[in-house]
Amino acid sequence: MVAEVERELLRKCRAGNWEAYEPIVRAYEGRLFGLALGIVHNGDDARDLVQDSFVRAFKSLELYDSDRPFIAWILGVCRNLCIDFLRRRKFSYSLDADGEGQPIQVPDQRARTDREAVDGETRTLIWEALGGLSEDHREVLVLKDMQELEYCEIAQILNVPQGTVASRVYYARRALRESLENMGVDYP
Amino acid sequence: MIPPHDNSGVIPTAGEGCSDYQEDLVRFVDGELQGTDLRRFEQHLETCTECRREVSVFQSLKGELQAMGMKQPEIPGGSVWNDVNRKVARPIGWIFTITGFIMYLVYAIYTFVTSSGNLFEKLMIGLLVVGFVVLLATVAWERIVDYRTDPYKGVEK
Repeated sequence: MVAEVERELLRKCRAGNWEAYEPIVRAYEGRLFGLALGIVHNGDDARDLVQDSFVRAFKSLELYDSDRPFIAWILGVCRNLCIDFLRRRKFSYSLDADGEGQPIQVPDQRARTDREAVDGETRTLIWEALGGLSEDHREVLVLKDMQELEYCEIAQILNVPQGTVASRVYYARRALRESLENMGVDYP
Repeated sequence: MIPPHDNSGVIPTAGEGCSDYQEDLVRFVDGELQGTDLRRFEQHLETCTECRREVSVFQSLKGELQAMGMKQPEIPGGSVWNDVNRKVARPIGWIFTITGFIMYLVYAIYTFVTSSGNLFEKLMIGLLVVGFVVLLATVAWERIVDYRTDPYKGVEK
């Protein structure tokens, strides 16, 4: 979305114009869904969290600093809701032994060539390994490698220094690699 | 693509004395290392096999994660706009409805009290209405208290 158009739409939203919010939602819902899916690893939950993020963001628009990119701010809102959700779910699962959640699926399951099938298999393993990482490691990999954000943007979202982000990315990648090795795959 | 496991059981790490380069290493992989830091790390890479290997692994993992196409995936069930619209519009609808109901109730009470009529009849109707409202309020309050204190409310059915 063009920055000037976005700024104008957000100005209208702040003035209470609900209709101006629709283009914002449609422009960023995919990004938020990618983030939420990467963190919670469940499509239905991710969809609900995206909805809640937009509702929460609209109600809190006065807290948004217009000098910052809106996408970074709303990704931060979504990330916070995802973390809250995971903490609640962890508590719920400790009460309900059967609550193991839905099987994890890599989203792209279209018909593929042999080469694509091998790549798909690899990605399924990586997706599963990602799901087994700690919240801190998973979220930083989703933000850096899936959402392709810069360190300064991630630092704003997580409210930590850039050095901490770099350190988390380092240990998250190592953890992902260890997890993959435990699943029987290795790198040269 | 990830090659088969070599069964060595050893997870290579950055070489001896490389712990100072961990931050530089990930910044290098992510293209966020510049200037003298970049040149210093590139010089280190020329002499450190383990760091070169780790850079290669991290680049490969980064490539695989990016190739998943999860930056902006398609949302199952389409846009969330209608759901967002409903979630915001519904509370507004409740506020209007409850405000209108309270205003109507006040007006009805005023009209009822000030109208000419049999006092006994007014008393009966008044008791019926007040009794109904008290019952409704107590049931609603019990439900709210039950919900707030329910330790299982987060458990999905």
